[in-house]
Amino acid sequence: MLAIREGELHHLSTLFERYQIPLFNFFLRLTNDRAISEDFVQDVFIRVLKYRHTYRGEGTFKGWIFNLARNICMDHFRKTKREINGIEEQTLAQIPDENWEGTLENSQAAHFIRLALTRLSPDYREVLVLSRYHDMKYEEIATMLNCSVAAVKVRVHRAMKALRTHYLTLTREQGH
Amino acid sequence: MKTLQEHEWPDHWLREQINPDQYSSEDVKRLQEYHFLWSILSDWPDENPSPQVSVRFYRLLQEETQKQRLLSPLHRLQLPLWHKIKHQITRIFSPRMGWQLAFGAACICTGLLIGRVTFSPANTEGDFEQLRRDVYTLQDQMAASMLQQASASDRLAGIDRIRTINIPEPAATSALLRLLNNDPNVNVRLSAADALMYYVHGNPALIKQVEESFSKQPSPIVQSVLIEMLAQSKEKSSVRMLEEVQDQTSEPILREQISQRLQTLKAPQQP
Repeated sequence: MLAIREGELHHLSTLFERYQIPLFNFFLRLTNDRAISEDFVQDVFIRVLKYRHTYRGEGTFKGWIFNLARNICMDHFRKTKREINGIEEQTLAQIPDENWEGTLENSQAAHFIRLALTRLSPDYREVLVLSRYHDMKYEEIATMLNCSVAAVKVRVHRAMKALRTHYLTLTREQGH
Repeated sequence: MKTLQEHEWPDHWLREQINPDQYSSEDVKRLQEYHFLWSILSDWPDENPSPQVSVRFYRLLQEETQKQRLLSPLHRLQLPLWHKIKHQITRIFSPRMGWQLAFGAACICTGLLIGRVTFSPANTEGDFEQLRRDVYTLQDQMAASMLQQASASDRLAGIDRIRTINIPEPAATSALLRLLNNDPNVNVRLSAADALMYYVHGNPALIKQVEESFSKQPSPIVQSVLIEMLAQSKEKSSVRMLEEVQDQTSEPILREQISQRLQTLKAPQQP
């Protein structure tokens, strides 16, 4: 990336080959839309070119490029107002406790969990996607979100509570 | 028994084994659920984007590379002379530079005015000569201080001042050589090399220093200007050196340029 910053643009193809799939899947898990995700991958590399002078080599490159990706996604959510209502704290308490683990086949459970993930608010979805699918440490996510590690962990915990609620709702709707 | 704070939950459900003795039965149950959900989340394999993404990216990269090439110094070197001069003028005479020059000129005019008012016209020619020397010294100091500025555009303006006010040769060439050899900015080195052209004729000592500087230059553009300078000097040592560079350089443009200059130098003189 430092070479690209100095004007050696041909090195960008190496970064593209390395990051196009992780970025595409990051967007796909957040938007659940292949076409938009492909557009966003292109937008990330346009921004890399546009803001290459701002890259200082501090922190990881992965963190820097995912920060660009996150900004693109959040801009999109702000513009389209596709915020999906988050779960109110009160309703979380209303979900009855029952032994639901293992009652579904793994493939069914994976299907419902994917649906449940898309019902989360973008804030919750992004912390789960970054930590679960992109192996990002809480410290890296905290740097990206400009908050403390404890705040990230709280958000992950709340995201999991909401995910659990959506998962249970979906399984009940389907009569499981 | 441990009561989990909200920020502690992720660390606990990520553990391989949840020890039931450590937590309340409520928390154990919830931790097991989160542990299960967390493991199920991984059942979403990565998908590949369509090939169209690559096609669009490489088109973008090609356009950007083309744009950058048009703006590159090497490309500018191949532009017509008028374009190069226009580029240098717009680069050097920024609005900030204009203010600096205006301030310098105002200081000089004020000094002259004070001198004219203070000393009567009856003063001797010697006094007037002293005043002229003082003005030149002020100009020298101003140019020297501009050469030491942190900003590359200020240093470029300093080089321009050296040309304008005709600083005596040893002082000017030593300042310009220092910039040529040490300045981190390629445009400053390029401008210093250009300015040295004025001093190179009939000056073997300077030519020798330029020859030494050639091997230190990482930029082919600066090397190209130095080749012009050495070719114009027509010194035997320079011709030998150009022949050696022609054999050793990996830059085809430089090789071609040296070849042309050597042909001109070796051609029989017209009567």
